[in-house]
Amino acid sequence: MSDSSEQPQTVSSWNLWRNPIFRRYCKSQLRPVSTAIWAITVLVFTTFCFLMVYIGTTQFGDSEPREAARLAMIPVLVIQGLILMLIGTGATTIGYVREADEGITEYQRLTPMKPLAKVLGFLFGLPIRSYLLVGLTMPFTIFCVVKGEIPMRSVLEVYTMFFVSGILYHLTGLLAGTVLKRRLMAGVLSMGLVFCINFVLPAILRRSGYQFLFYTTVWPVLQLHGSGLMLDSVNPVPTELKNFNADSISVQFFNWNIPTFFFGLIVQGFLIFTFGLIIYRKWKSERSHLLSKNFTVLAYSGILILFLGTSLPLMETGRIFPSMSTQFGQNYMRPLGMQGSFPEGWGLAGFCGLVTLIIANILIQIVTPNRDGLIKGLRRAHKENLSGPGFGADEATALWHTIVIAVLGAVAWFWFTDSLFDSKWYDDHSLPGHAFFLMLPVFLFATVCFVCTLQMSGKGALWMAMLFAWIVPLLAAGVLFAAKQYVPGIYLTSPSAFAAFFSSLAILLDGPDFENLKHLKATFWIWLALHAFLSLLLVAMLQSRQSQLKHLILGESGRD
Amino acid sequence: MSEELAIRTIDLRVDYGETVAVKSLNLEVPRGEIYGLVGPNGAGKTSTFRILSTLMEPTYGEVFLCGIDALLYPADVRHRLAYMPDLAPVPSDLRCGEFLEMFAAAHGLRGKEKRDRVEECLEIAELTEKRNSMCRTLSRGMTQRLVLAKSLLHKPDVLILDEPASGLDPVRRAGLRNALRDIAKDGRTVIISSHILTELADMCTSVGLMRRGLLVDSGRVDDVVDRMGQKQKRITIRFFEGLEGAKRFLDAKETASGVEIQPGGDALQFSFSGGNEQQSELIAELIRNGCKLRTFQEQQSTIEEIFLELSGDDEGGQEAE
Repeated sequence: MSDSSEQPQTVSSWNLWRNPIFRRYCKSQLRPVSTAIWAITVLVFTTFCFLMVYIGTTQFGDSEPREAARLAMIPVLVIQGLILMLIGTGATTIGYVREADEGITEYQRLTPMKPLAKVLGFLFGLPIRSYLLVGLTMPFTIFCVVKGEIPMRSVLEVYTMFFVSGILYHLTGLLAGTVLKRRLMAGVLSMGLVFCINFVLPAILRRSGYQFLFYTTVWPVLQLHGSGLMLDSVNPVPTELKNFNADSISVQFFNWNIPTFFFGLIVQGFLIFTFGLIIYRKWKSERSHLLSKNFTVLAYSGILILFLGTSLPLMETGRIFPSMSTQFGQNYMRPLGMQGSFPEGWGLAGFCGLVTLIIANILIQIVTPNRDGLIKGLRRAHKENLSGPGFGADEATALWHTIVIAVLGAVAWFWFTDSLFDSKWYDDHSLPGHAFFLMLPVFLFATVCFVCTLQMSGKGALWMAMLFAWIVPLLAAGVLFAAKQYVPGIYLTSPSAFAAFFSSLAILLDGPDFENLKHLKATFWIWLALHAFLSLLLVAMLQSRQSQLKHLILGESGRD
Repeated sequence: MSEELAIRTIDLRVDYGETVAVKSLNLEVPRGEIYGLVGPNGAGKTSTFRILSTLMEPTYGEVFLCGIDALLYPADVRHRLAYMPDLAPVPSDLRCGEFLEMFAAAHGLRGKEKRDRVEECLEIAELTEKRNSMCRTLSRGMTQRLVLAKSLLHKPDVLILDEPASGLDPVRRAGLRNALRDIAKDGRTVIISSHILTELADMCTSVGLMRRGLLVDSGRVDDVVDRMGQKQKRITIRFFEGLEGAKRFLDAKETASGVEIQPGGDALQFSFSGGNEQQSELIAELIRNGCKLRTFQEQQSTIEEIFLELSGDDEGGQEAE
């Protein structure tokens, strides 16, 4: 029988060319016939789009070849983006799920390759056809760069960001393939996510505090270099374009100005690391949680730092307000007199708190063990003569980490709201000193109720509880508001944690008095009392369940 | 840890929620054995195989393969084992040769050594002519053989095969039996589960019987059959007269069960779970009660009957596999 010293050396994680998984996809994804069909299709469409723009602008627009080449770069970039991000992500997800579906993942698990080598093999192997197709369109890029005299720095920054974003979206695809077991669902979800990240989320969240999400896309760098190119070719330069370009050059992060390109790399690098870690953990142990409890606290802190770092500097300029930053705000909100007004700040602070809670709850859901996990952890601990699983173990209760996450979320929400109402837009308003001690329970009770219900009763019960306690009251209140029954409608919102983010601010902020303000304030106290009671009850029940499980395990070992 | 043992588990337990799939499993398989794990569906065989092959972590317990702690050093163990699951899958987008080459490379084989080993394994699996065929075009039997070839690529010390003979025709099954015997002759260990129990008894040097997560018995095939057969014999008595009275008498006996009158109406057959002393006492009592015995035949259970007995006990009480 051989000993360990005879073990053959497996491939190094970073040696992609010798990675068997990468090579396997190079073979299966690049079979001559299907690759030729793809290549011809892509070249036909790219040539068409390129020629339409290039010839069209020189013939009809009387542009110089230099300007035409610069403009023709845009459709080339769009096609490359579609291939790399959308088709590449879809291929990654579907290929990854198919591997699991067919049962091949188990064979891969049993090879002595390092988990990192496996992750990298799939990450770069599955979308290999997309890389090849993008490579085939590069002659168009080279023509545009040379003919359009586009600065090399712009080209490098745009393509680096393209590549990094591609990796991020392909990792998103692997993540979707890890979470979802059905090919079609996973494929649709991953491509939907890419679409949302690029077009929907930034529009909703970008000017509502969560500005940094915009940097998970290639848009900031494209805007910067796109406007830079136009500045170079348009004479005289319109003032709006000048301002736009100046805004795009750097990102204000707390008191620092970080170049847009580097900030994009930081944000995407953070997400790539987190997503990569998830896939790595799943390759190490199939049954482990997506993230460890301790890393989840760190990841949440990172998200909050990015949120605060990018949103606080926008306050003094007023660009934090939808009414002052977006076209929608300019066209529809400003005419309604919502410019930096008290209701807008109030709504913005409540909305940011709510989004911060939703992110917290998504992370809490990842690290909360189910009943099976809890039992397994207790059995293992009992066998090892320990009182329970280790503090950070997957099988340990998520309650303590939830409390830390809640405190972090409350601090971020307080910081944001305090800074907003300390800004020049609200000379008449400010948060009182004790505000944090009222904002903390909002976060704490909402997350504690969430984690206790999830841990005790599972996802189905949690959803039903959230639906009937937090969502249905809001919907019912909406119906009552439509029927002009304002007072009962306001009171009906009182069980909802979502409403509490707004009603708590009605108490804390010394805003203009309006007819139903006292009722709105009353709903917060009702919510606080109800959720304080529920939190204590649920924590007590959780502890009691935990002891019941311990007794069950002890009883079992007695019978053994 | 003795190096003589290829597989050793200590107090292994697997839970799925509140269901216990494997309970206190202490398994010892010496090297060079072909060990068959027998048990009805839900006995815990697949869970055991998945833990042995490092695909799953137990709730607790220890697992050693070739003396290496499989839970602490799974990567080291993976060099030394191969696992072939039930309904062994193959990738639909690769050719047979590419499939084997990928896994040979994953196990650290390079260049000529890799190519030679792939050819060798294709030959063992009698699939040389299918080298360039797409895996998805293979029949079920060929697929099984291809996965067996994949399992042999890195010359594993321990081969874990879950139902490897399913889908193979009798000729191929005989081929598999010979191949496994050759592997065992090289000092490698094979642990196998199968529902074709006559094959298993023929092929294995030792067996373990599992039921409801517990290892009921383990050892040399003959010893296990002997022990289990002693526990549950099938007895046939032919009478000159007194059959009815004998049936009533046996029905009332705790050690006798399933008493049936045989076609012809002059014989009774029943299962007997007592020892030798109790058996001779039973015959004496029958004679004292006035039964006139013509012949007495004791039939020891085959492994198949033991399996059926185990499965029968589990009816209605199946647990997770």
